[in-house]
Amino acid sequence: MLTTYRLTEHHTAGGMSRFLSHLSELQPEMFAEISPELARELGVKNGDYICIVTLRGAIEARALVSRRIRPVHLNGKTVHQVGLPYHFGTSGLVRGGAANDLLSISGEPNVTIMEAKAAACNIVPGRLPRGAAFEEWINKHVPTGGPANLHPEQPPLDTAKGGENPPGGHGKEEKE
Amino acid sequence: MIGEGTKSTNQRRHSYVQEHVEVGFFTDPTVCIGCKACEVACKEWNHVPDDGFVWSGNSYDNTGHLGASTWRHVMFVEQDRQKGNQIVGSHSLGNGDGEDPFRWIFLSDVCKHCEDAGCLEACPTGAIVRTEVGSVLVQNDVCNGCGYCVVSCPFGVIDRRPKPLPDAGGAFKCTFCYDRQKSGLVPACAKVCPTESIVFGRLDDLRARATHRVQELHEHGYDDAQLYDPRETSVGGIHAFFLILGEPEAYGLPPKPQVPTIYLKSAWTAAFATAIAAIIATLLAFAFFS
Ligand code: SF4
Ligand code: SF4
Repeated sequence: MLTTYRLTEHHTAGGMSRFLSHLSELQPEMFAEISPELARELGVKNGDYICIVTLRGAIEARALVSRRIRPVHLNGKTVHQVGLPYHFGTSGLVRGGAANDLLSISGEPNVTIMEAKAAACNIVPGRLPRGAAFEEWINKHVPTGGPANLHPEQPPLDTAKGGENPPGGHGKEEKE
Repeated sequence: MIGEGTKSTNQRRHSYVQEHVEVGFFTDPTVCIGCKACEVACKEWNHVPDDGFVWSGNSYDNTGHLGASTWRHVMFVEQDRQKGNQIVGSHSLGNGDGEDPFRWIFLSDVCKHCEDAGCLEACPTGAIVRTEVGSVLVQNDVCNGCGYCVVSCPFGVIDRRPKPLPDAGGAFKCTFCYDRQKSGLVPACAKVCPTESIVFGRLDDLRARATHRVQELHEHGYDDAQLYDPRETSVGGIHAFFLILGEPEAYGLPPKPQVPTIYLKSAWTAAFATAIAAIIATLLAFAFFS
């Protein structure tokens, strides 16, 4: 399971803080916090590059191995947690994988901000392939076995228009 | 309750410089939240440039150490030890039964402003002076960048600024915000600290407060809480002292800091003896081969 959160050094997706040198130097690179148990399982050392893959996409980050992150035991199953700050993006003084790329877009209607903070993910040690190699890579590593990842407005897969986008786009009334 | 809010000496105007009152910092990691506001406020006020964008992989500490462009440094120490009366979980894999303590400690490090300061004693130009409030100040318009102070600091605080940063070559460290203090303001780092982990005030008040805080922590199960305030060594006490959990080494603090100048006498004696021996050896060589 991955979960996204903030660091004190950055503000939201970093649009303000990653352009300031005094804040950027304090958290200069995207990292993923994992437990020593998961690191051992993956054969990853502190500081190694790892890729985090979900149904929505993949990013790379440096592994920050810490006992602060602990595996949880649910119904006899061990579930590992992956901690991802969501402050990074493609521009600014310091750049890095955007954790929000991994999540589905689901707005919380009352506060109109991203609601999704957690998702199932795969971790693949190493750097993220770019270009054409990426597609092949992500098809190989994307997590499988869960329910179809549909937007609430998309009809379920087993219906006639299964998985299609609603006419007129999301959130808009269908025109007569 | 943490801190004293607006009544705190961190938020009050003062005239310590005019009254020649010894001031200090008392830093208490048990209330620090690791926000690094002190680091940023220091850089903002003093126009300190950034120190490079390097991810360290050492907890959340990407600052590393104090230096010419880092005058406050928040340490992030992860230890397999219990913190106070903390409830110890046992969630770790393969250790399901036994206790599994863990603690994360933040400590904001700074120039100690020693009573007998190595940097001040080593400075040949007189650029480093003692102020009315007992702090140690580098006058950057006098400093010629010789670097003697850098090797003389027992805490590794002062350093020369490397190129291409502005003012490269000169030695820099915390000024104790002398400019602010002259105007009755509190040092920037203490002013912004949201939890009063850094307390600025009269040194005697702070020492009393610190002793009381250690007692309080002992009562709450922090058995390894102690003060780091080396007064019995040649450093003769520091103006920025710390409360620490466990041993000073874990925070990169020398347990017995010494001012290098105490070795001057033995060093000169050794040099003198060597010089005499060299002269005798040379004369003997001439005596034998001529
Ligand atoms: S006293 Fe001033 S110069 Fe020294 S660490 Fe605090 S803010 Fe920086
Ligand atoms: S401002 Fe205060 S609470 Fe924040 S990191 Fe510095 S010492 Fe700790």
